[in-house]
Amino acid sequence: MNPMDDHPDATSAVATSETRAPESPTRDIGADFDAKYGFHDDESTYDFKSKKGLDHDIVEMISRYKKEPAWMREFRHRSLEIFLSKPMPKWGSTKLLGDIDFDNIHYYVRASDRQVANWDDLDPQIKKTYDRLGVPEAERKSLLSGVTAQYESEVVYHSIRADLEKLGVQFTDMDTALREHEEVVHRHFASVIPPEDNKFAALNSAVWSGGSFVYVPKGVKVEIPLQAYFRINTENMGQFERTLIIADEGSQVHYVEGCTAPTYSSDSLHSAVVELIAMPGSKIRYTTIQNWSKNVYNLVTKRAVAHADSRVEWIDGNLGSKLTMKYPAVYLVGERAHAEIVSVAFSGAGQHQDAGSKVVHAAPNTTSVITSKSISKDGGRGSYRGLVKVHKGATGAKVNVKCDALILDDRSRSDTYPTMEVDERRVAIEHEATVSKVGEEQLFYLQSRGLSAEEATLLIVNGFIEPFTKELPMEYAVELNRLIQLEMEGSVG
Amino acid sequence: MTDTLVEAAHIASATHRADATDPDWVRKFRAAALERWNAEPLPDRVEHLWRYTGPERILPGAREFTSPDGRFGDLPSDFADAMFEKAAAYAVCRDGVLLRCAVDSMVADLGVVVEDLHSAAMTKRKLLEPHLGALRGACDGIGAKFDHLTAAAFTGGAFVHIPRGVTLERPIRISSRIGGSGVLAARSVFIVEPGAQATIVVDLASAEGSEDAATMFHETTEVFVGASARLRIVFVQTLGPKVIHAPAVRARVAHDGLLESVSVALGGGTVKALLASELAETGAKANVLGIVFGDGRRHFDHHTFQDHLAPSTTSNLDYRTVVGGRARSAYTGRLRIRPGALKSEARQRNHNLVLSDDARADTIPELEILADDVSCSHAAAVAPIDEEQVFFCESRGFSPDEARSAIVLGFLEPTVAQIPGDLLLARVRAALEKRLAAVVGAQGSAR
Repeated sequence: MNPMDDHPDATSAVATSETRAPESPTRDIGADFDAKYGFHDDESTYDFKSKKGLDHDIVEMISRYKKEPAWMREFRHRSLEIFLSKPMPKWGSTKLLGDIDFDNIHYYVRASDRQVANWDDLDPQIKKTYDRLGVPEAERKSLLSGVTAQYESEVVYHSIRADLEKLGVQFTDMDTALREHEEVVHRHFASVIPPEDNKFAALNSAVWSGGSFVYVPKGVKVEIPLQAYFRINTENMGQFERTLIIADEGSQVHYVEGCTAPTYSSDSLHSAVVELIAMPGSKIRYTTIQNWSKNVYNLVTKRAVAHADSRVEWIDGNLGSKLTMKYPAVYLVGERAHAEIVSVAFSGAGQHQDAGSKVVHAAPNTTSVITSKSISKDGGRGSYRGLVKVHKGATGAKVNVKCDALILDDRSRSDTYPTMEVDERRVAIEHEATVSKVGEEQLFYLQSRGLSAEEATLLIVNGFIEPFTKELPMEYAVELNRLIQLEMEGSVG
Repeated sequence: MTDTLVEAAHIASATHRADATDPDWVRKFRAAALERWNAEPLPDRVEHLWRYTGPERILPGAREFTSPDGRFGDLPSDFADAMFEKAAAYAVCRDGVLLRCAVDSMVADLGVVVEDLHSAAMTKRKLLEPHLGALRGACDGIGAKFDHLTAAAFTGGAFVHIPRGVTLERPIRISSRIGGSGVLAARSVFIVEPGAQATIVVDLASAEGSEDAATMFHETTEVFVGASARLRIVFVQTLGPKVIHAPAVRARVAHDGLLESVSVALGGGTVKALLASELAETGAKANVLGIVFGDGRRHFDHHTFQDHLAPSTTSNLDYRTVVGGRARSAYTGRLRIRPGALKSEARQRNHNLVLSDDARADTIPELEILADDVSCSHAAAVAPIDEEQVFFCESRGFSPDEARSAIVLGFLEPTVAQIPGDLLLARVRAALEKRLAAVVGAQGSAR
């Protein structure tokens, strides 16, 4: 038997939750998610959608439709073979993974035939959905640079500010990049995450569509964050974006990806592949907040290669989805490269956030710091699953891992599965984890200062995830606080 | 494939050989276990428990099961002084079979029993039957495959029973020696009734003349700590460098009971050890200490599991590992707080000192927390000897090697100091110092 299977008690606890007395201040939180975020468009206006299911015909069709070069078409077919031959992972949530029906998913949907250059030219219906998400406001702020709005599988809106173009920064969607920068894409595509890596990376490699391509030339520092919004809208539609970010020597870039998907009744699959390449002396920060609706499977492979003196930072927030399995990874292959992974996971009713991080030290004097915060409530399950591997010869490597979990009620669950494999003596590896509930004394103190129990709890939760929030761009920190508040709501009054 | 068939035949014949003198109920117990062994597939390496030591490494394969030798050889040098100033009872085992046991008559009068499992099966069925195999399913039935093996084919093992309310000031000592190149299987049952208090010290080594034998030793020990009872078990293992040792200890601690477990693993070539404790009732507590010292090409894999089933249960785990030479250690541990086990406290620590470039230490300390009002933490670290500490010692007149040895011994001392019995403690210290001198010396000259 697999020790990582869902504990039966965890699921039965969810079923009985309705009969409990509403003593918990965190009960019913997020009940109004549908009303606030559960909007969706009429699908009939979409101009192209593949049939359900996956075979070589679908892959061939996607590739031909996109008019791709032969090498990419072959790559897709080869990846499909790998996908079909690989077994499902036997860890994480094997039960939820077993529920995925790969034959009942649209692998390619295209929302609009046009690439528009101006926000006002966007299809009104799509625009309306984005308006609900606050994208135009964000874009209007001079803080933000390019916006690639991914609506369904293809990028429909894309604007690059003139100053970015002047610097030589390439920021396009992946399909355009394949057409316009084929040589660079060919060289780096799947070089960090080959399709053989895991079943879902293979799936993405076979049917990928959309995603971002970023190239920052030598020495260029992009001062303002690059942003992309991703959405899933068609029922049973997989979204398989493919992102490749290359920071050339001495450059700097901060890429921000945010997701808020409308809710649907049947399960949707999101399986992205994100590859980062940090050349010597460069710095990449990749910030994500995923808030997929609570029926989405979010099975994502994210990995960076960090060359000498470079720095890669994953800032990773997980609020939504039914099951997330995501372990941002950094391979430190050059001396003095540094990895920083800060993550927060919020697991509510019916959710399993199986998130974590992976750092491989393959060069001397490389360092990594991992900070993970997880909150479970209403029967949710938060798991930290991490790997730190130090290869022989990576002398002077330093690793610090800290995982803290907060459990808000007695129906929820928190797991920590850290793995440390150390093949080198001259290193310093530290791992620490704590699990606790919101302290009665903290609550009492705050209530004695006039806060209600709900306000006090929210304040403590916000304080708990502060190491994460402080890493976010200001608008995102605000949005995250709003989302956490939404998740924690329902107890007030 | 043929190996598997040969293995099955060997286990079956070992089972039949062993049950020749068994009472009926034990014969049935073995037969059922044999069926389970044949039916149960090998565990999957995707489980952390088997990640670093594939189950095939401790499979009997084509090896034959050997009949126990029946001769202990020279009695341990501390046997005499143990009679009975320093021990309440002293038993000697060869190849798992308890050959002789001397019990202080005052202790025997209290009803304390220390005897071979086989003889207990003949005369104490009522006491033994409800306990033998009762903990197979503990902690998710972890490692059950090999529980079936010892249940089917055991040829020895100790039975210890401490009656209700009896407090033993002196420990029960069990000296165990193994030899030969075959497979040995043993099962032991320790029962500490409510309110009783005892210490059991098990000292396992290779028999004289068998120091280089590649013995495979599977043993299962089931431990029952009754309500408000206290049991301290100390395992000291100094086996030869080729021995394959697969010990499993499964314990159940009742209401307000306390289990203290100290395991010292210095020997063996391949060691795959399991220590699973169930904190089954309110107020149960387990303190689990362990040290592992590996040099040469030794391979250690220790798994611990503390399962908190009831409220206000406590566990403290501290495993310390030192690896030098080309030795390798893997520590995997799991802490679980079940739903409703509120007000529980659990601590898990695993620190690893890596002394040489070719040594390796892996660690996976896991937490599974299904209740909110609890306090749990774990910590793990892997590092070489702190050179600043070495520098400090040198500034006080230590040579570099002396400084390193002192730091390593200091790292292990809190656990070593828990070993009762002057002579056993002295033997452990001497073994540690000798082995350490070799590791540190080799490292020093390579520097």
